[in-house]
Amino acid sequence: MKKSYRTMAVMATTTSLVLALSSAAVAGSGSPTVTELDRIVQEQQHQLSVQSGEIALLKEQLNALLGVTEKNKEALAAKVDKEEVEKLKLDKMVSSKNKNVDVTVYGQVNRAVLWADNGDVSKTYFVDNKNSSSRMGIAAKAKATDDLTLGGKLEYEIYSNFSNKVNQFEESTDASLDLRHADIYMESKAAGKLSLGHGSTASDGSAEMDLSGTKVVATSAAGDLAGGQYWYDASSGVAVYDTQVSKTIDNMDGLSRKDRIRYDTPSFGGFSLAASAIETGAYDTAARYERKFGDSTLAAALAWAAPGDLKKWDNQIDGSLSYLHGSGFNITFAGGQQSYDIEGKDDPTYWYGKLGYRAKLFSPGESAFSIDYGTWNDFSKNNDEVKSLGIAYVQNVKDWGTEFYVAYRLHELDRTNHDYDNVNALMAGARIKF
Amino acid sequence: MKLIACISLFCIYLLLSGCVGEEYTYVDDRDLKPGPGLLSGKDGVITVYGTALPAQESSEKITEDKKKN
Repeated sequence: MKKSYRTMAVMATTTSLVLALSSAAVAGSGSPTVTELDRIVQEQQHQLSVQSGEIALLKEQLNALLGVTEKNKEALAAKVDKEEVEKLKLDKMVSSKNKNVDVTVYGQVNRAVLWADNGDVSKTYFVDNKNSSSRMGIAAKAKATDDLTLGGKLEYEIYSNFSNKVNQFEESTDASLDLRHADIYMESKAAGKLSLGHGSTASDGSAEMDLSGTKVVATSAAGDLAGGQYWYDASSGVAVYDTQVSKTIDNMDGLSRKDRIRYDTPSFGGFSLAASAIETGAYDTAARYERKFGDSTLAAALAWAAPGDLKKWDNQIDGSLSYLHGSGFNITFAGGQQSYDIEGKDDPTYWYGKLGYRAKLFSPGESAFSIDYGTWNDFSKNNDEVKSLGIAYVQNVKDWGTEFYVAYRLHELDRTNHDYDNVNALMAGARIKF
Repeated sequence: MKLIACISLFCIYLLLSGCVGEEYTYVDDRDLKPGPGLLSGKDGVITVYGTALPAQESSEKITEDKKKN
């Protein structure tokens, strides 16, 4: 018995010792205890709480931003429109988001001082420059599709003392308002342009293709400068004032502006054709060529017109051509012939040429110079020959929308049994575009 | 007859030369001159309704727009 109790005691002691040693061994190796685990869990829980709070805050901020955008959508859209309008730097009476419609007002004033001498009387006049009269208008345009545009234009010239009207006997004329355009049109890039109303006929401008830059004061319409002046002849001992310069010069520039229907083809390689049916049974047609070759430009036109009851002549052919080289040098020609079905009446003819140069010589804008010469035959009477020489200078001031100009012109008439003095004229003025 | 023949030949020449070169739209200086105006600024016209599309564009701009199309 004593021997078994001793054995059991030894076994228990050994077991305890082993357990104690095991515990010590485990503790010595670094594994977390429950307390440590608990501490770790608590720390992680705390971190989760913090992150949860931050997420909630971010959500709140996002919702706040979305809320602001929703509430102020219209105000923001209006602000964008306003900024877009302000960027355009235009004063607009009415603004619109419709990008396909435009209504514009435009105009110009062109006034000058004209000095003219016909060999008997020298006078100074204050005139409206007939080369490009003072005018204003309103134009509307609506883009129906990518190809089709509809539009209309209403334009009046407002003037007193036209430079081709004032003369020794009439220094001042009443102010006048004349209709230039009351026109509607449909224009298709593929099919051409159809115009209806009071406006340019197909042949209008056919004698005035001019790239010289001096057209505001010198054109083939030489009579627009001092055309109202009377020729003076004192060779018979009696002063004769029987005809005006404008009656002996005509640049045959088609049928001008009339009430008509007109069709223009699209441009094919620079070529285009036009035809119009005009009031009182008149009709006309024209071909135009406009092309750029590198720095050089060529513009030309040829027209034929039958005036119906509008004119005394039966038909007329006229044309002009202008070439502008990249260097600034340019050359212009114009000419024409009218056919009369009146016995004994010779058919009037004319030709005209101009040499010019244009370049930016001064900082405000381009300068243009030209010298031109033309002869007109058989207009007023058979065997009449008028020669006209002109020199012109035009200075553009681009930022002001203004051209200052000065021109000299000499008209000479050679008529059978008469010896008219030459008409000398000098005109200086400015054209200001609104 | 000679004159008609000359004009016809010249027109044929221009037609053939139209195969080269660039589009150009002639603007009549006796009409409203293209470019800026004293009051209207760069556009040259005063827009009273719509966007600020210029009523009259310079011939160079017309040519560029046609190229883009």
